[in-house]
Amino acid sequence: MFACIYGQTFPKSGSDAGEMLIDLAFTFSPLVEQTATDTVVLEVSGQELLFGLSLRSTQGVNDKPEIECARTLANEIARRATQLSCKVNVSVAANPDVAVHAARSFDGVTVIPPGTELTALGSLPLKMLDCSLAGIEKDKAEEIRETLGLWGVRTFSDLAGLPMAGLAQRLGQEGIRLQKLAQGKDDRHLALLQPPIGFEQSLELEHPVTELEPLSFIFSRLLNQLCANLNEHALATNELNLRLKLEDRTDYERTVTLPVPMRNSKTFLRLLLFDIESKPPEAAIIAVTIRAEPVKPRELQTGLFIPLAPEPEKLELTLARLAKLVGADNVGSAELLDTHRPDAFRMKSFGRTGVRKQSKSNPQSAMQNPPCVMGFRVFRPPWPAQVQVMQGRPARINARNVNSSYLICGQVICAAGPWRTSGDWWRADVWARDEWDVAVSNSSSSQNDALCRIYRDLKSEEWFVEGVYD
Amino acid sequence: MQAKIGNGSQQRKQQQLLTTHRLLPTKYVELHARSAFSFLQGASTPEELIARCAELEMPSMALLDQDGVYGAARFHLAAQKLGVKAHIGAEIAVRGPKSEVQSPTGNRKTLNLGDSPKKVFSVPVLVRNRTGYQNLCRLVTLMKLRVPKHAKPGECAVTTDELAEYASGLICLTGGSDGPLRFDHHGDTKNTEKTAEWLIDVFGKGNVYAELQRHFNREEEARNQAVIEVARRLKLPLLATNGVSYAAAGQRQIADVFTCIRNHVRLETAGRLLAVNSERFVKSPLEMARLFADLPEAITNTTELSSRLEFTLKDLGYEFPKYPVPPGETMTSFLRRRTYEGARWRYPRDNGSPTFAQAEKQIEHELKLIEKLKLEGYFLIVWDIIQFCKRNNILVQGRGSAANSAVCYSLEITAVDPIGMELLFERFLSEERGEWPDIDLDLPSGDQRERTIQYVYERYGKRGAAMTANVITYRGRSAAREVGKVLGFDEETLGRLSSLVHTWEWKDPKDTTARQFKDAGLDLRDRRIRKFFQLYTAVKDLPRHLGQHSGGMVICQGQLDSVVPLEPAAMPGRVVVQWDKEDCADLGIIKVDLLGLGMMAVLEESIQIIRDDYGEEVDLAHLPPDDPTVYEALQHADTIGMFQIESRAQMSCLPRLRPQKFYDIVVQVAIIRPGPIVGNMVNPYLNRRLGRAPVTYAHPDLEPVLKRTLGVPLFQEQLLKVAMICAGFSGGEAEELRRAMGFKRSEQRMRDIEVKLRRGMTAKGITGKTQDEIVQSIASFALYGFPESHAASFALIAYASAYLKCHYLAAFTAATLNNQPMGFYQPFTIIKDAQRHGLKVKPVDVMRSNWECTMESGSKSNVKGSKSDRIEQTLDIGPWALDKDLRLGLRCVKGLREESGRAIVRERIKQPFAGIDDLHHRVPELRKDELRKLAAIGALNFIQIPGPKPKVQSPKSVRAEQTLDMGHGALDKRANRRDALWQVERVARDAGPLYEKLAEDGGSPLTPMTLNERLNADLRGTGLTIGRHPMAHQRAWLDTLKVARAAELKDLRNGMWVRVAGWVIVRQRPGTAKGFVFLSLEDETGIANVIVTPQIFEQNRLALVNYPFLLIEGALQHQDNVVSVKARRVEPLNIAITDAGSHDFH
Repeated sequence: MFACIYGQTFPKSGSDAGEMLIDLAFTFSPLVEQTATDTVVLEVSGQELLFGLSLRSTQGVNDKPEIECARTLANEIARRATQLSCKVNVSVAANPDVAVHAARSFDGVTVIPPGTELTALGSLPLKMLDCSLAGIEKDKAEEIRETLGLWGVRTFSDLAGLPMAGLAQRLGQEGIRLQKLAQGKDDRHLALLQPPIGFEQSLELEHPVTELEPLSFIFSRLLNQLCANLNEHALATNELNLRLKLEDRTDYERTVTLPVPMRNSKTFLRLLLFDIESKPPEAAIIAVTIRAEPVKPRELQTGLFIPLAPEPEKLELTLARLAKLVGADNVGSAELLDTHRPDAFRMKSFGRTGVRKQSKSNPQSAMQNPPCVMGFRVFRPPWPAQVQVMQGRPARINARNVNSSYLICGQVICAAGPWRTSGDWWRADVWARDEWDVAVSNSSSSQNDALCRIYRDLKSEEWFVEGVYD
Repeated sequence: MQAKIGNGSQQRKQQQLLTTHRLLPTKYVELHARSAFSFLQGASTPEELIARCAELEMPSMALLDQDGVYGAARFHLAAQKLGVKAHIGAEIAVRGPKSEVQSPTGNRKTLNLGDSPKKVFSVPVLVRNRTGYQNLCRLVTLMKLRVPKHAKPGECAVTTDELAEYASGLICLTGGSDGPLRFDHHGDTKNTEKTAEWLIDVFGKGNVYAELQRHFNREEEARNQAVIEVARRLKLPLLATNGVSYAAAGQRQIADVFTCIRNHVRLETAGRLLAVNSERFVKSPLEMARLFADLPEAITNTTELSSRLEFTLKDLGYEFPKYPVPPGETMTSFLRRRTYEGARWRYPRDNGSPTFAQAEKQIEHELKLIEKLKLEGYFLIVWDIIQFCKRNNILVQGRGSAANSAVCYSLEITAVDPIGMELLFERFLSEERGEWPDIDLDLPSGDQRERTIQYVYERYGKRGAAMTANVITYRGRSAAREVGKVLGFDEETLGRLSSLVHTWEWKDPKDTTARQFKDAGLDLRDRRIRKFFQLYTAVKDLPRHLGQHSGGMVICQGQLDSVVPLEPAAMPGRVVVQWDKEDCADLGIIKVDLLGLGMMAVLEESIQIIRDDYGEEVDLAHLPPDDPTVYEALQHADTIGMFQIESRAQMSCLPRLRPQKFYDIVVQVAIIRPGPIVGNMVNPYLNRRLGRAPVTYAHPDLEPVLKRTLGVPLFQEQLLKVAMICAGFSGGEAEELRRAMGFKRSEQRMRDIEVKLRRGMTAKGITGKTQDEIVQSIASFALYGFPESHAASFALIAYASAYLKCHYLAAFTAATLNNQPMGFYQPFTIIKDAQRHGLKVKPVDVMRSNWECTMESGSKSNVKGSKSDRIEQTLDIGPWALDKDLRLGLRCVKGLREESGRAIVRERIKQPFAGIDDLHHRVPELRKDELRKLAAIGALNFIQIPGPKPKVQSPKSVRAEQTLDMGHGALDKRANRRDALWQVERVARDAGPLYEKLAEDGGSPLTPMTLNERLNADLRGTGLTIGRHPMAHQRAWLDTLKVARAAELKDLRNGMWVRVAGWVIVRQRPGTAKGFVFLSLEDETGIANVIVTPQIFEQNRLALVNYPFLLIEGALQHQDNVVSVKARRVEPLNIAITDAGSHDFH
């Protein structure tokens, strides 16, 4: 016998509805199929000793013992669901698909004794027939439904009553399978659910933890278990997710992305500790959850004559240390942005190994800058400058680097420009500037002579020195 | 460049520069500007560019759009108005080979275009003289016609040899960043020099200018220095331009948006595809002089070059087409001969018609003018098209102002007698107006029109005739979507933004943009949303791409490509010119409009059917003029399917106007137009006609003009005359007024004319209310009004359609169904209307039906049958001829391909089908879904189905199906639709080896369809039903609700509270009706008209817009035989009909 649980309503908060149904089903049988998100089927044969006898007194006198047992079981499932604030329909039948159709169609508890399938389901409209149960693909099912609609076949019994040979000639094996489904005569095995593999480890703490040291012991324990699980399944991970519940009822979450798949618990521990140190939680910790994203382990073919690269684990630890020192946003490789905004770049973390997808070429981006005849030394940040302007051109400049004694000061003896750029007009940080290439001569000290690039921010009207030509 | 900064010579140069600032040249001409007609590469209209140019007191300007002169006509006209000289040119895409090229002088030059992967570059050329213009047009035509319309960028280009061949008369600029000298600017000038030498070889010494542009850009300046160096070496004159892409700096944003649209990217991801700054606007001479202070000759050369450019579009060189005449004839003599031949037929001498003398006089007058204006060729070309149509039995009729001409009438171009109708010839052609006539021909839409167009191409050569273009502009939803996409909005927001663009014609005055945005859940205070709105508004109405005008053809006898460039249209075999019809008219290019009219096709087909099936010949030119049946139908607004007079508004006017003669139809056609409606002319006219108001005139002088229309101006000509009489307008001014009326870009023009009108009227002493009334009448005509001649042409077609419907209902209905989609109503309504008139309509039947609907000889009357059937047939059949039945054709089956339908007919003619198996076997074109469709609508019922019939439970419904489905054949042989469906599934499927040879054990096990199922199958499969109306099935229930039938309403008294219910066949919310909505509800007895006030509409919007069946309650309005219900309560009816379509919101 098979029971089907069809969830109608679930409590609004809490865990996922599908998960809830599966948990419910597993409390009654280890053989569970998740037919759909809201439907589970479980094999309930042989449970007389568990449910049949103890509740016998509540059942009708005419039912056979197995039917009585099934009814009792169904009632018990419904009762447990009610305790979990779920509204479910439960049905029991000799055929799993009959149970599914009954649970989806009839409210409450339904028990269909063997041999009465068509009587029970015959009047159901054909739209209730779940073609996926007969292994028919959606498009094909639609096509068959359309044909049946044209034929005026509206109910399960209409379909069940069609001559089999005629149906086979017209709709093929799919038609026969559907007819059997409607008759409740199909035969299939349940697609059983496997218990989930634990790549997530959690621990609720008895006392809130505020120190890093005790936390490291907890992390260590969880990570050891995680790595053991990964090892057992010959897997590794390239992403660790840490979730901490804090005393102030907030959640703290960090994700550590690894450049290559690993399963070294010590490395993981140090990475997590570095990470948490760089941005510590703001309250004491009351629960810890660590989840590892399982992936295939790294396959590495080393060669006898190939020089050894640093171990990725070690490199990652070094980078994590650096990130702790200078901030995570300041570690990685600089990437120029495709924009006219001068000196625009971003820091990109060192990517995972693998084939990098080529971005669509931007014809203008592909244009190379003309080869420079001179080197240019960029000041980051640019130096604020005071510039005297005569007839629209810079005439005198005075600028000093705030962190050193170096200064650019003197008469502009020659200026080329302005080179005008502007952009991002659709954004709040619209920018516009005029650049000049100027030769500065200082009569008092020839050391301060310079060939430099200055610019005026057209929004703030302020002048800056962007750098000097070597 | 940077290396040179410290150079002493540069210092000296700068010093010089400062001292010479006061001596800057102040005359500058912008010789390189792109408009939005470079399609996504420019952001301003030609008019904006010219306006800016005039504002900066620049004496002239050159427009160089990419690969064409699309904007040249508008540029020229705008310039003419503002006293600026418009130079013409273009940027020509050239594909440069990296090989030796033969220069025109015979030298071999190596043209090395560097290592750049882009081998196509743009050569900017300016037109110096007419030869140059003709060469430019030919060059562009050459480039465009050899690739399909949607060629990839880079495919559409000329070769260097072709450029050399057509270089005469053109001046070449070396261009900017995408010009021929764009390569090799990294210090090495060798290749740059070679390319420049090649250009000199191609265009000649003195015709190549080294172009310098300064947009404050380092790389550009580096290139400039290279170009200057080469120019100095080759002694090329320098020329400053600003490479203009927009009129004002702020329009850079539009240019950036266009760049994104062109490259399919968002602003955020466009990166360096976007402009580096906003400097490509029209700069003042002083600004330009300052920019080029170090090179003053580059500025002075612009005025020097401008003075060399003699050509403007005034010297287009267009000549009227010539018509080849037989030896010994001139075009004049030939036209005379043809005209008088026609006149003798049109105005026979022997019947003593008093008009012949008048006709002769008028024709002579017209011919003299035609000869004077040298338009004989044009008339003969149109005559030739008419002759082609006659030879090929293609129905054709001229419309528009051509109907004012007796010559056109005599040449059979038009069908309205202008002398009999006292139409004004000058409205068509006048010497004073300085504008050429255009003749519009109505042809049957579809293949016949295409044949005629192809004839014109064939007759005058591919480069001698072309369609006029239709400039598609950014507007509506597509513009909103594209701008939204560029700004990076997600799909949901895009949907909401584009839904803001209303498709409803009527716009609530309170419906401000802010409110619309708020309603859609978008906040205009949000920066991005505000930016969207600003950009959408700016982009709106800018050209997007070039389409093809529906029918305008220009002809120039083998030389059209030297007048305007030609390019391929999206439709195969079509060529279009780069200007739209307004541009063509503005430049005096003569055109013929070959327009497709669905009703012409219906008339043509009806005549053919009548000839074949009735054995009668109907000549549209000689229909009985005052047929009482026709006028009775018109007076009762029984006009479904008739041309121009079938709409809801027309039907509600007909019983009041009560047409009694042909001129009344002319008035009827003209009066229900937005012009007269907005101008408040309808009610005054009807009241005067019904004798409820006296006939008065705004001014006594207007009596002769307005007498025929009882003092109310209804036609365009009358308005022009009114302007001439009251405001003293000259003929030319009146013509300007006429063009402003019919011109879509006319708001400003109308305002200018209004000022002139008021001034003129005040001078003549017409002031106050009278002045306002006259101005209001004239202004409202700008919205749309018919010329009298045009209305008369349409009225002729309307009369013909009415005549055919009244006398040959079966033929007319068949032809109407064969030419769907057309007209105002769905085939369902047309069929039901025909059935109410007693026509017997037979179902689609593969054993009888052809592809088209056809005639079958039938029983005289079918006003028999059940009680409900009798109720459905409440109209007096009168003298309508009903000796034919209508057999629906296979074309009525939705989803059945013509190829399959015709194959069925072809095979059936050879031998009738013995069964569905046989049908499937012999017509392999038939797909399974098509077979199913045929079976579902009962078209296979007449094929004998093997095996005994099963006994079925519901004898009543089966009998009903059999009665309705079967038109013939023995009852025991017939199948029902489900039998057929059962068989179809078997024959259309390979049963496999196991079942292949298995015999059928009896008939189908399926239950026959119920009435409702059949109705649904009919509607889904054909969109119509020949059975009972869906409302008839509900009648018993509706009777309990006291719902009146549509046909009963006319017998109820005015003001009575009534309920009506029906299928909504038309929903309208016309722009002229101040938010009122008009519904037409059809039931089994006819159509009930419902008026919904804006308030009731707002309260019941969902029901009124979404539900196919409605029950409406309200007061009956019954005035002057016009019956309608003013809705107070609206209730949707749940009737299980799957495919219930309506014509909404015309």
